[in-house]
Amino acid sequence: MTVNVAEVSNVESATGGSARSGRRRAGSGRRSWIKSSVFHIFSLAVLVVILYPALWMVMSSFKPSNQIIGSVNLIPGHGTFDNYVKAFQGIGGVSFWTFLLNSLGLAVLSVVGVTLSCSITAYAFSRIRFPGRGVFFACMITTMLLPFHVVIIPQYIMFNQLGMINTWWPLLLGKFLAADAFFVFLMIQFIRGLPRELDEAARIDGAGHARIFWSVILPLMKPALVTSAIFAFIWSWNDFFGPLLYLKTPDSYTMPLALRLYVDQTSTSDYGAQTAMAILALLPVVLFFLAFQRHLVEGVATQGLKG
Amino acid sequence: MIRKMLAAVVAAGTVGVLALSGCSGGGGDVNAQAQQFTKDTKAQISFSWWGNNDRADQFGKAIALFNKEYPNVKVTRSFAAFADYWTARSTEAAGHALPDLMMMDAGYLSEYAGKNLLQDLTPLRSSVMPLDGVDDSSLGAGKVDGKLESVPLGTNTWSMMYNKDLLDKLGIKYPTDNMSWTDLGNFVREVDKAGASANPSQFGSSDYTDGLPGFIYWLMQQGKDVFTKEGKPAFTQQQVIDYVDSVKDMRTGGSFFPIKRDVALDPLNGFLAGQAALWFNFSTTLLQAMTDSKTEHIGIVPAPSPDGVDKHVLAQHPSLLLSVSANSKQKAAAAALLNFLVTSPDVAAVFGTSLGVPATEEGRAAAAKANATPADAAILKYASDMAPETTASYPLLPAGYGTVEAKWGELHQQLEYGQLSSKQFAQQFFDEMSLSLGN
Repeated sequence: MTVNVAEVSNVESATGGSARSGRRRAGSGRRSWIKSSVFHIFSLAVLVVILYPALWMVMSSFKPSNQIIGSVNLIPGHGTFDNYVKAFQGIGGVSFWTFLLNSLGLAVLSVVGVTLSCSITAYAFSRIRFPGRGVFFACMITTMLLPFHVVIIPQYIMFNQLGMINTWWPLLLGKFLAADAFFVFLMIQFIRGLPRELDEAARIDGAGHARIFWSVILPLMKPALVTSAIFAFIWSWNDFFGPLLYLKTPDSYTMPLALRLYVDQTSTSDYGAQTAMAILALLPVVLFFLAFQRHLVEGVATQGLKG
Repeated sequence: MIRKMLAAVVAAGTVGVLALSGCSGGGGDVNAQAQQFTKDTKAQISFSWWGNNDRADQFGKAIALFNKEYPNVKVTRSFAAFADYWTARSTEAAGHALPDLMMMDAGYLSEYAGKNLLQDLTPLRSSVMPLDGVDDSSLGAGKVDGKLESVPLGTNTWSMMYNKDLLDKLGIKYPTDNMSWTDLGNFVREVDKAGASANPSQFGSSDYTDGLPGFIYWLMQQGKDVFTKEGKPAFTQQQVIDYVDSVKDMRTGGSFFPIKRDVALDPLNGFLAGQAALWFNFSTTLLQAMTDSKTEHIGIVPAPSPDGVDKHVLAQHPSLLLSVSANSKQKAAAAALLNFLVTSPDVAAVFGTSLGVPATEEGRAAAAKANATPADAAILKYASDMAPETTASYPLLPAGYGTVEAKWGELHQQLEYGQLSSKQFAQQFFDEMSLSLGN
């Protein structure tokens, strides 16, 4: 979905840009006018194709449950809010708000964990020369190459032995221990782009590593921190597999888990409640994305220039 | 030098972590636990099932009923959709951390029993789990190598469902309970002819050789074995070819609901969308048929027999089973809950037939009385009508059956699209079985 939003905004800016250039060239003849209209019509067609499934989902959430599957119509015959009423009722005695709070709690703590631990780790890797730095750096990069599926079972066994099943620990511990190599790497690249003279100036003033990190590097890292925070939030919010394995009681379930409970191929499925729940699950992350979109693009762009 | 030492330390650390992950099997002594277990024993057990939100509500009620009788047993619930349920269980199995009581599927039973992940429940029958009123033939479906590894929570039987509304509109008589395969073919063509002018055009049926359970019934009706004791196929490639080719003319001649439309309707199909008259499935899916096709006018009869075979061979198939895990530390309490769910008429009244036809006489009576869903009466009637004809028990499905059944469906789609010949179909199906079955 987020990909869709991004693509849509690209398409929009592309059409906007060409509209301006179209006007500029308008005087130069009829031909360029035709060219630009063709381009517009083509862009709009692409936009419709990309947006249609999302729009269909939004509209379907207002259709009665048995009119959803097998129909590509956008307009609900008999519009209804029943699906949302049903979704808000919760599942198996657990309220909708419990699922939402669980998801939010995990996502917020993930953001805190990732920004804290990864920035400190990144500082150490990029600014401190310590024995074994190369080996550890290589190890960290290697964890990025390991497919998730390879580590699931050993990880599960470990957390099981530690008695951490059905708590938030397995989902958060890694985040607080800078186990997300992607974010560490992103921040290292960013810090490497910051001039060393700033550190040295602080050092001359008597600052140690803690002080340099806190007062010099961290404030300058803001774009990288925002990017990491946004990604950490969205990934945690959309994570299905982790909660499926580690959260065992319904009152600890997150939104993606609850989302799947309306559709059961072995008996009856409530597609209406499922789409309504999907919209509700999507809303926070879309709002989050829209609010921080500028920072996200900025953060990635700065890294591209300096890294 | 330092670098090398560090590398060694890192390597040693990794090995240490791996060693940590070694097995810790376990669980308590079953007999001792069963002896000590009373109605007031304190215990905490976990119970997992798959299913939708309705089922979650129903199990909530059932567990509340259980707690009236066993007030000190705290039951932690956990549920997920079918596919996710098995992903979670297989990870837990690796860590010997399966829930105390878990829902089991006939297609997974051999696999889990074969890996010693399930508790043999036989010794508990004399104490906490008497299973009063459950007949031995239905218990047979939960046995692996003579051990009672699971207990059916409900049963269902293979059937043919038909959409009465559609047939009424086309002015065609309902199918009967003593049709042959030739009759079936004629019936389908008759509906096709009458439904051709409808918009969208209506058909008699999708290709009914599209599922492995249909083939299993076809073999059983002819008195043939399906799987060997070792979990290998007891049929030949030629039999598979004969089966799918028995409707070859209809498939190539366009007599079946077009596969393109069927795929476009996924997760529904022609029948569930009200565009085809017949559907072949286990009897408990009647409720799904009524919900999805938006009519309660769905009839149910036994599926037709091969020409020249004058019997139905309606073996009961366990729709769902319950198992106690071998790693459970509270086996007696878990077995007590199992016993309660399987035998209590009150539980049957809560679920109706949504878990299958209840295993006990009292359960069936209670379900009939409660009438929890519009499909209950029809499903229970079908079960009791067919009871005199119920014969051999359903074959024990070998480990890996689930994969093989899915493969049949996948290959059959290619067959319907004309991408595979029936010979290639049979060959590829056998290739899949040699990979997946019995391991």
